[in-house]
Amino acid sequence: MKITDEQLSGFLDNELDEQQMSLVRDAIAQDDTLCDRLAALSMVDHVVKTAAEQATNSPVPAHIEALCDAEQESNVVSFVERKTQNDDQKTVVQGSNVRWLRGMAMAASVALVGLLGWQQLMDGQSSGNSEWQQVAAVLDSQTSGQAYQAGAQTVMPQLSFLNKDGALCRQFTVIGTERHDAMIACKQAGNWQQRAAVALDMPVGQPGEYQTATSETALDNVLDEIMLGAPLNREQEQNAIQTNWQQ
Amino acid sequence: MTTTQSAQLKSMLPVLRRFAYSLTGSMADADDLLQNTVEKLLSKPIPEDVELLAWSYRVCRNLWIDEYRANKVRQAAVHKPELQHTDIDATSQITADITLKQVESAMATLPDEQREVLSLVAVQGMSYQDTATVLSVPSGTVMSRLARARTKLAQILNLDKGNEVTA
Repeated sequence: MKITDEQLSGFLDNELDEQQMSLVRDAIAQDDTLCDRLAALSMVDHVVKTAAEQATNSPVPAHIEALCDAEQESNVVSFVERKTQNDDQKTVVQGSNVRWLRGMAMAASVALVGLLGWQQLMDGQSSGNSEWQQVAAVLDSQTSGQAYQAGAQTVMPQLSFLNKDGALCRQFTVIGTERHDAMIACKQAGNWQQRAAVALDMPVGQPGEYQTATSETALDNVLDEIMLGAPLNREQEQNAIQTNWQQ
Repeated sequence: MTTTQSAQLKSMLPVLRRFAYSLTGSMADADDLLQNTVEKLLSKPIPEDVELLAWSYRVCRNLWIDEYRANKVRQAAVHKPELQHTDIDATSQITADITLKQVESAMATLPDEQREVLSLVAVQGMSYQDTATVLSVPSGTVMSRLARARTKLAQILNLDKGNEVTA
């Protein structure tokens, strides 16, 4: 039976299943040339690894190591600053939102889409569009971290923050019967104004359950651009609710 | 990135650098790619449920695909004296018969997808499954690419000494 290099290569790494490993073992026992071929393939690894070790034998450039050192120092500073500012305050980044924040780096790039349906809702808010008013009512009155029924939709506020223009904003998801969107809206002139939206896959689980990293990180790039400072904690959110999200 | 992660990243720099070298085939490009990788890693939080080294490999590889495979940086590096490493002796012996320069030349003949698999498995010692995760390909693909890479290098470097080597 012909033993291919793919089998030999897998054998070399002990990555074949036991039946295949046994097959190759038996073949090698009966055929000296197979042993030579195996040695040749193995030698490739040795040569390539030795070359890489030799070429990179010099120290890592100091300016690259300094990048890591600078990051550690800035972490210490920001931790001290945050501890001073937020002592005894519980940040409203709980449950799924913790994972949402941790997953921020995962959204390399998500193309924002113009959500015609939502834009129409937003445009229609001044004329009393009921669907958007139901969403806005949740944004007005509920803290982050839980899903709320708003008519036929489920709205889940995920994060509240101050943007660089000084307006209070909320990142949230809306699940309807046919669509699932992640959105950011900011309270301006007494109304929630859409700042960004992206269509997501329909969730598999129940509303309010932890959703995929993609759904939770879809608007990271936008947040990075417009968010000023840390997200509001629960107490700050409750204060914002009492003042109707006016700064 | 947390303080722990940045300390961990610093300790991983030599390994990551070796991977960057394996991908780019030159120390000038490797250090430039390493710097860009570190900057990218530091620019955003890293999910705590991922393994930092595998995540770093993935970032490094993606940057290499985006910026280095087209040789843009390689060409740019020619004009950056600070990126030129003159302390690497290309004539140094890897084995009695093979020099570093010969290995680099042989690696350069491999298709990118074979070189990255060989780098992860042979140089970094990763399993097929871990390699498949980093590259987002099935582990069967890792196996076949790796076999082709080994076969080709064995031929180019004359390691098979005339034995029949089949793909």
